Amino acid sequence: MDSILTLKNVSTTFNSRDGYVKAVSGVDLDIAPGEIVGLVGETGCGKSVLGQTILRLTPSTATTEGSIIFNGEELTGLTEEQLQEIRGRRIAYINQNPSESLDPVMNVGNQIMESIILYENISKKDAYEKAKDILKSLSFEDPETIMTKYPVELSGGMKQRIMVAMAMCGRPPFMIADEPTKGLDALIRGQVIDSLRRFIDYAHCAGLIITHDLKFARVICDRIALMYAGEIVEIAPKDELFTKPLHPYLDGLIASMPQNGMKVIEGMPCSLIELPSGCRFHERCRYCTEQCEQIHPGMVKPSPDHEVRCIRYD
Amino acid sequence: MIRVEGLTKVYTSGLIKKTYNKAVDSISFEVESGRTLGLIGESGCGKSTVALMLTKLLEPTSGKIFLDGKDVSRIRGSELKQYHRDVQIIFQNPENALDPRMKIKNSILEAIRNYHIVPKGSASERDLLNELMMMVGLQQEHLDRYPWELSGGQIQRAIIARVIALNPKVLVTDEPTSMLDVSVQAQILTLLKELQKEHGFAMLFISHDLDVVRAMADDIIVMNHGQEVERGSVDSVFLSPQKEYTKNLIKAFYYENEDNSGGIEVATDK
Amino acid sequence: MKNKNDRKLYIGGTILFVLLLLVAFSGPLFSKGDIINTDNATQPPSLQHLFGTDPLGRDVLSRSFIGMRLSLLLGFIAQLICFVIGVIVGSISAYFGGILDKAFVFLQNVILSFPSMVLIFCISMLLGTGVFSMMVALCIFGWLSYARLTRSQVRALKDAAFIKGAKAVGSSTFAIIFRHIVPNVIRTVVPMFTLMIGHAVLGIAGLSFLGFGVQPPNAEIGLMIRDGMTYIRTFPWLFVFPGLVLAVYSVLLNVVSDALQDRLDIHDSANISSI
Repeated sequence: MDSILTLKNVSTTFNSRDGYVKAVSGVDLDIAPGEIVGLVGETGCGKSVLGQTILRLTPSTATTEGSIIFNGEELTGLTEEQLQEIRGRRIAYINQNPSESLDPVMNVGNQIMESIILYENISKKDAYEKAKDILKSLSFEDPETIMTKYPVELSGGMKQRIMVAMAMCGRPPFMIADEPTKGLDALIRGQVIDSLRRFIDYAHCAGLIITHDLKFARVICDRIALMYAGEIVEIAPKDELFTKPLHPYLDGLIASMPQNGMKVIEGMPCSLIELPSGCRFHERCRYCTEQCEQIHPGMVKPSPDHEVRCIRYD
Repeated sequence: MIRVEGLTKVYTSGLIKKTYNKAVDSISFEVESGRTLGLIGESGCGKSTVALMLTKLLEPTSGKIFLDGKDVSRIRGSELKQYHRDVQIIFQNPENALDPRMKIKNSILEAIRNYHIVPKGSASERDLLNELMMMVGLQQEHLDRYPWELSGGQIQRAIIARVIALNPKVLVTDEPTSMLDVSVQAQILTLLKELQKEHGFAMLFISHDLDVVRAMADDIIVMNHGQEVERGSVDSVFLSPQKEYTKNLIKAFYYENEDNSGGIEVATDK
Repeated sequence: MKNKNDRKLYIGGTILFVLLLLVAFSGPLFSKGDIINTDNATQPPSLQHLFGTDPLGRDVLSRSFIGMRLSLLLGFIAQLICFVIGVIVGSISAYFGGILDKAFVFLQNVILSFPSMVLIFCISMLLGTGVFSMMVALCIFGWLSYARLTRSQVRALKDAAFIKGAKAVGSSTFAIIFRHIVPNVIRTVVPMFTLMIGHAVLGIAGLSFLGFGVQPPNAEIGLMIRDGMTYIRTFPWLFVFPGLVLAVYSVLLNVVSDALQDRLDIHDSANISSI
């Protein structure tokens, strides 16, 4: 196989007070080298958990099953030390909350240099120059001043771009970005997108970008996977997903956008503790048949690179 | 219906060498019954400050507010209480918009009892609660839940129920759906539109999401650094923006610079 | 999110604590604690006297519980006083702010700048050694933690959207303080109360151990430990068992405090959406 990351039947379950929460169930995904895949879905659909599962960043109450193969290496069997080698160096992870991920008592220059020295083992002086170059390449106007700043002195968008800079240092072949544009205004969001693009070009990396923003996913990704109630329900090249949506849920999602008339999808997402029988969307689906209530649909391929989890396309 | 003239908020800091920061710089507008004015701009442009001043949760530095032609800038006591009833607000973040210790029922009753809308503890109070729940698309059982037992969309509905109970003349919504998923957003915005049609309140709709404002508002004002940049009907501003700032904002929002991967012209860093 | 094992610990710990509390307070009803019987002096632990007896022939087990009861009672009273003062001062300080807030914070800093032991010695000199001066000393320091926690809580709450929302639907300042702010603050301060009783019990035992605080012949746990020290080589049970009892109660008070915090913490109790 020539894919860089392969997920096979990956499931993640949380042990909570109210029972077992099946946050991710049976996810299969192949990402080719250099390919950017978007993982979209609404709150609680399991998209962030899936991102964390790949690098085993999930809370201690979570258990994961299935296989995660990165560059031919099975990640699920690795020890914590071995994973440490992969995190950052081979797979970068950009958190949705940069304020939590940056050290508040160290200026950002030192934080970037620390990553560079860790990955490349070069002198402090070289690391400084390298950090400057990276910031310059992300079109920061005055890298030297930025490097003297502490995280509190920077805006949310700036911090997010610093996170991107730090992720770039190791030139990782793969990156996972969890909601990198959450809560950012349009103008700032443009800068973060630009930084992400430059990062991808620089590291020639593949990536998984997790977001709730369908438009953003369309701008930056090659392929988009839509999640609902813990599983991928549709995956297609970005434009095809919007021009030829197949799954009724995706249909509804597109129709509910303000520019498309805000048509309401009836009902609420199902509970992840007691999953419904059959198709997980059947209670809200207007095409629901008796079969949908009983048989849990598998992925079908109506066209070569378009897959959907719905029996209407069988 | 509601009109503001030269609304300004200046924050001062420092004891000896004072620095002044104009959060809102003489904003004026008027909203008629049944109409919606959209206020758009990036975070920190002062649009939320306008909302707080309009609902009299924040004292303006200068400027006047008129409700039904009456100057309400200096009212106090019972007049102020009446004003709070007439001009209602819905906040952005549903997660802390209701007291976490109170059942939904009690949060709504708090508003109803403050204005003695129906006798306390009476059967008509219960009927009113049930009616409100139906109006906003919640079930009676939600009345006995706590905010943390509801989803963001359900809380926002409960807050709408509480606001509608007071039958306000003006409704200010400050990013009411920015924390919600797009499918839930559609539900809430549709509900607000229906209620407006039914009750005829004037609405000030604040958002940074241009699509949402476009779907909700009749007229819009674009704000930047506390000042008005541009105003006009929704179509005129979106289809033929006059000011450079508005053009950039629209371009960035619709990712119009994004098709050529590479340099994006955006506002530069400080 | 706390997992099930934590909850088992909380429930078990709380039940055990309540049982031990009952034992400590009902113990005297069927105790042989203060019966002096010199024929029976310094007996090592046996079935009849599980913790042995002291040089006056008194049963160490029941004396330990009696001693614990006194410490718990004194600790509870001291913390109750601190709780009331601290919550009131902290709320006023944060809600009204301004000069009042500055004054209270200054007062707190002044008190904190004294070494607590020295101050306690001074108070004992002024008021005479004994329970009263010990309680005064405990209270002078104790209310600070409540005031600080309350102040920070109220300051955060003051700007919460639901407070603005309550104002916007016409609730008065009085209603906002008593309907919204106080109940929400109590939620975080109550677990601290239990925790602080534990601290106070240790403090009381410590002061009594040093000769301030409770005076002989009253049975108090710190006092017993001090007396036991004298015999640590010859009759170690006199020292070890009261110490053990003190430790068990303190640990359980901590567990109860954690359990309360877990119970009262709203955001932890239901939210799965954060996953």
